[in-house]
Amino acid sequence: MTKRRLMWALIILLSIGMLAFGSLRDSGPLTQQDRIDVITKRIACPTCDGESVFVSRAPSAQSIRAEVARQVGDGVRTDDEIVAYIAERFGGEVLLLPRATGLDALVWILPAMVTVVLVAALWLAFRRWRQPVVVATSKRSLLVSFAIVCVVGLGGGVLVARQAGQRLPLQTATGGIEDSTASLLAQARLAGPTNVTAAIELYGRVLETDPDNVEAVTYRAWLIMLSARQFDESLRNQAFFSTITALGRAIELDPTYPDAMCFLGIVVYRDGGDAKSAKEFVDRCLERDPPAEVRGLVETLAGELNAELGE
Amino acid sequence: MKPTKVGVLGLAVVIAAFLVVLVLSDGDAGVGARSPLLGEPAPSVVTTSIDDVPFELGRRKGSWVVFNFFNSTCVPCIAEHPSLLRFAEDEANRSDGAEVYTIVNDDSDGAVRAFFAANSGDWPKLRDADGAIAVAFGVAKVPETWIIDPNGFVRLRILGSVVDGVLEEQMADLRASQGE
Amino acid sequence: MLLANATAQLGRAILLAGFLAAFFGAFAAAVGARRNDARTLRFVPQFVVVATAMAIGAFAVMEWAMITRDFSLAYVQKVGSRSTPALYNFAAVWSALEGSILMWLLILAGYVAAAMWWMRKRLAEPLVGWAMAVMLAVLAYFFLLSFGPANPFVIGPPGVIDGPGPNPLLQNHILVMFHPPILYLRYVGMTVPFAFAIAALLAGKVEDGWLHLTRRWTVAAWGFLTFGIALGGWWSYEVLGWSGVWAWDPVENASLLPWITGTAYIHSVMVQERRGLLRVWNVSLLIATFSLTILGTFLTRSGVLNSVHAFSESDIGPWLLVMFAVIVAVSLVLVFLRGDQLRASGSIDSVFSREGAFLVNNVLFAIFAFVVLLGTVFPLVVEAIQQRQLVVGEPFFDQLTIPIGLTMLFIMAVAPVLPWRRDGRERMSQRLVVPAVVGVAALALALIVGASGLAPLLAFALGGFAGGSALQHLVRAVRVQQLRGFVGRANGGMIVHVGVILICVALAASNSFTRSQEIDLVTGQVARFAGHTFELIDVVEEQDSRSTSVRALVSVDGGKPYAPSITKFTRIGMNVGTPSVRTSLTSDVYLTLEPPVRQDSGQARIKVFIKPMILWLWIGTFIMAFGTVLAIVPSRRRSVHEIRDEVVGR
Repeated sequence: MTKRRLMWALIILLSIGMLAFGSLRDSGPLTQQDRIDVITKRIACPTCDGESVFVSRAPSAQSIRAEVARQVGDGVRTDDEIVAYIAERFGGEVLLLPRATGLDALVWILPAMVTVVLVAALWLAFRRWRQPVVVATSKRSLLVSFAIVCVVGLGGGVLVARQAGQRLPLQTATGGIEDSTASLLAQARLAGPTNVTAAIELYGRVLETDPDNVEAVTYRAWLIMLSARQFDESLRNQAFFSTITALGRAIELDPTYPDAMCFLGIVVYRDGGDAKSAKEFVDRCLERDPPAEVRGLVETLAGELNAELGE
Repeated sequence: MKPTKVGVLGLAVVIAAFLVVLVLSDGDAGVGARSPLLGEPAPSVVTTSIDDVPFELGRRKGSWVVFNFFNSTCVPCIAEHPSLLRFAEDEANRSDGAEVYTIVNDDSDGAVRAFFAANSGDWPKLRDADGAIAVAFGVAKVPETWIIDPNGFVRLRILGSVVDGVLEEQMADLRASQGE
Repeated sequence: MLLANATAQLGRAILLAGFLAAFFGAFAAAVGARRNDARTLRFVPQFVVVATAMAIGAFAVMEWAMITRDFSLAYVQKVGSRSTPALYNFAAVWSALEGSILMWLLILAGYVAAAMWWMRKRLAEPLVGWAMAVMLAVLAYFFLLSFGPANPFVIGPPGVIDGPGPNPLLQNHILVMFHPPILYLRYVGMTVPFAFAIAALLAGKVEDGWLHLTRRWTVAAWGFLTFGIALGGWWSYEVLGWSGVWAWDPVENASLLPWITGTAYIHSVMVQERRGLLRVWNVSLLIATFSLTILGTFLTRSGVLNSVHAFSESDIGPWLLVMFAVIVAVSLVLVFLRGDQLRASGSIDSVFSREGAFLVNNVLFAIFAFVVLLGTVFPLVVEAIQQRQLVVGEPFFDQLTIPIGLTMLFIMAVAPVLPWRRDGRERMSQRLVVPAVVGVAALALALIVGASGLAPLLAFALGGFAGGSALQHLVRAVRVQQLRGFVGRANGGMIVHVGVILICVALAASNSFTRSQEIDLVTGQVARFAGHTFELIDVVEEQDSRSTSVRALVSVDGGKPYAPSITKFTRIGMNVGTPSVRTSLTSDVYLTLEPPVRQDSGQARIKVFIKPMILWLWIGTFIMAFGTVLAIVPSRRRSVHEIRDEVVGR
């Protein structure tokens, strides 16, 4: 008898030991492809019935796989961040693992609860069968025990959800999705017409981290000139020269950027009075196909310049 | 015995609830589709057209920009082309007209060129290597049309082919709300 | 054309006649059963014969239209084609909704007729009467579906002379085209046991002759179901090209759910046989299996999974949902009211007895079914409530079903050793030693081979444990009964268990230890990965009337080339990738060709998967099938009297 007990003890100990060893064992570094596979298994193909991007052969799935491969190759983002990047584009519906919050958590909690309830019912049934003469349990104690079981189930479910569910920051920050430069530029642009000082400051912040950002250089200079027009002459002159320099630098940085050339033409004429240079700049600006707003500003000017230069 | 009856009742309630929810669910209609990008700054798009002219979305701030994701073999894309042409012509006549671009989705330059040669449409057609632009916008199926405002924010997403007149209507609405 | 019209009219007339026959047959059977009126009940077979003939007729008319390429019918326009080979064309009839309902009708009518013939000596009994009533009612409803919303005989727009043919994915392999009939053989098969379960509730009794009938039938249907699921997995692996066997997508889940409850029933019914217990469980499991069949058909056919709102716009969705609702409502009411009448006296003595184990098994399978059902249906509910799309995908199911699967392995190991009616702890500790040692050995072997991770290791250990237990049972049986030790319910069942264990272990291995890599190959250069070499021999393009395909010939480890390919079906504009697999006992080398592919560049991008133990999945399936067959062979010759007594219900 005791020999058998020893045997069992040995078996159980051995198993636990080997399992512990095995589960803690390092399975080797994940290759990039493994990492791509793991990530793509967490993302659903947007045009399929719940297939993961890893599984699906649809073209949209291929594009997403290519994107994931690119980002894994760059090595900048973590798995969670890459999944979040895709989710921020396609919406939360591409997450294959429901989140652990809100209505979604129910899908984790309910199975745990049902399991607990059923196991408890089983246990109760077995107890009743083993002792056929059972003290009549009052309705109250039955209800109480049922409530306890439900709470335990709920708790268990929440634990499972926490551990298993997606833990991703899915709130899209109001500041924008791209890195902060783009979001600062976006905010500055919004502020632009009405709150020039704020806009100038925002462009300035962009330039702190990215001094060669052509858009920031151009628009900051332009807005400074605009706001300086209401002040006295010395300030206006100062602004004029700094603006010209800045716009010139922008053109150097990116000769194809139309806005800088256009603003240069406008400023040179309106604040500098030089029609001829202005005309040159304006012509070059129009060659570069400026966007509608800027083109609108420039076309009125072009008319005036033509009149003045007598062409 | 009690447990069975309780179980049956519980099951009945759950199934009834499921059926009720299913039957009473109501779809919502509307032109614009949902996207987490609506109202956000548009993703950065840096690519070249099929004529090798470089393009950068950030440089187009100041204009309304319309992106049409397109593939020359997709039937709804072909169907919507006349509506798109009309829209583009209208916009070209305005001083603050929207700039229309085609984003080529999983197609060869040659096929796109051939299509536009046969069906006209002289706006730039932009390449999308590996579908990176499509992924950046969350586009899974063509055609899709996106409208981006002059400040660079995404304003509208239309799934499927654009019905005649819809784009003009939506642009008018957007311009009006922008002017406020 | 008059002829085309005639076809459609004939088809519809046949369907209407079938509906009327089934409807009045059901009515007559119900009335006869209620009043215990033998004369009325003996009329029922005439209705069955007529209805069956009509079902066969309707299917034949459709096939005739398809074979003669009669493009005046809208359905033939949809799935017929002049260029499809004859066999695929024949099978095209069931490749879309309306035709598949016709096939369902055909098979259901066949089953009803078979059931009627089987019970021909007992047709005057109320129990059988009620069962026939239920079966005919279901048949009538399907006739109605085919006459109404799923009408296959709609006349299409004129002037069409050719069609696109069935979905190209279905034309890859002949077995795939015949998958739906096998699917329906098992889905529809569950109608008969269901009918008898309802009949038992209605008649208020279930003599164990009922058991004998339903058990055989359910096992057969279950067998087809298992085969169908395995076939689906094999198709997924060989054809779809993502290297996996099971994706937990809603269509797969729809076929898995009835299998789960069906498996629970097969085990639980043994307790009813031995001790008359768990009757309410068994009746409920039969009802659940059939209801899940209908729910599954609803989920996959109504479009509700693409979008909740799609379902109410589809023609057939609401009808199927109504059917599901009615079935569930009627069943629940019946169980509620009549469940107590079925209940036998007596109880399960100990959780460590065989009955106890089966009850625990029932609970486990109930949880399993609940998890799969919840995951499949949850997106619908969320979309209906919060108007947003949600996906519950593979990772969810994997995470929750792994503990369930491990528990199943554990019970499989322990249950065969437990005695009936007694506390078996002593016997457990005696008889499970050897299997436990096998389990430990399996664990050690896995560790030596390099496995890691708690779940897969547990799977190996418990698999060894369960396998050892099953084999031990077989060895004992053979020692006592020689060759007869392999046949019969218990022994055949053990063999089936061995098959299941192999499948579980193979799944654990392939899920956890697959390695993959995308490789750019250039002709003549050799690439290395995971201990194998790959050399691109050539890139070949082929064209035929329906498609162009590009194949990359890759030599693996210097052997014969394997050719993964991408095929573009020109008429439909669909790209289909086909993998190429080198199989061996230890692992499969699975190759796919990745787009974009340029034919003349001498380059190809392939993706390589090294998947361990896949072959064991199919070996396990065959062992299951083999075991099922052996289980049906009687384990000892029983006297005529014994059989008679059993059927009559003493």
